[in-house]
Amino acid sequence: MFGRDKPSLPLGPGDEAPDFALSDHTGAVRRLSDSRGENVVLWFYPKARTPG
Amino acid sequence: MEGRGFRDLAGEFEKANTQILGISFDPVKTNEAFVRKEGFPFPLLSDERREVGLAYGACDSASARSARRISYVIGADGRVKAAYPAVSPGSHAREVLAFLAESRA
Repeated sequence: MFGRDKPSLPLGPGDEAPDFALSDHTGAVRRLSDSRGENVVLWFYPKARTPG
Repeated sequence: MEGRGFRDLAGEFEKANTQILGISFDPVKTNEAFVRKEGFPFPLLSDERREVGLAYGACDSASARSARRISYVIGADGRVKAAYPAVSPGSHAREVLAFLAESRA
């Protein structure tokens, strides 16, 4: 799950996840820190409406 | 695609006290249409300046066309629990759920 032969990521287990403030699809601002107290899956995807 | 995987397993993620946040470099309007089309029960965030993408390694420059297919699980304490440098669209949501179940045990 971590690494294998894939490119490594700048953050790994135990690292503080950098906070951010971004507009969601309704235009509302969401911060990572809004979700303290629950787990978050941060899922990066290349483009909306593309398969895969 | 993994967005549908997260959508179809949304109830399981909720039971695992886990919020899903999708992020791409698309504008808000494009994400709005994507959510409407696919019926995602979670937000899609717009990182047009690529600042979050750069911080998390989803791209190497502020002019990158699109985000890499990566993901992270972040714990309730704001720390990274797992990092996925390459995501298989078909199975990723289940993979993450399995990890959450394991890490709770």
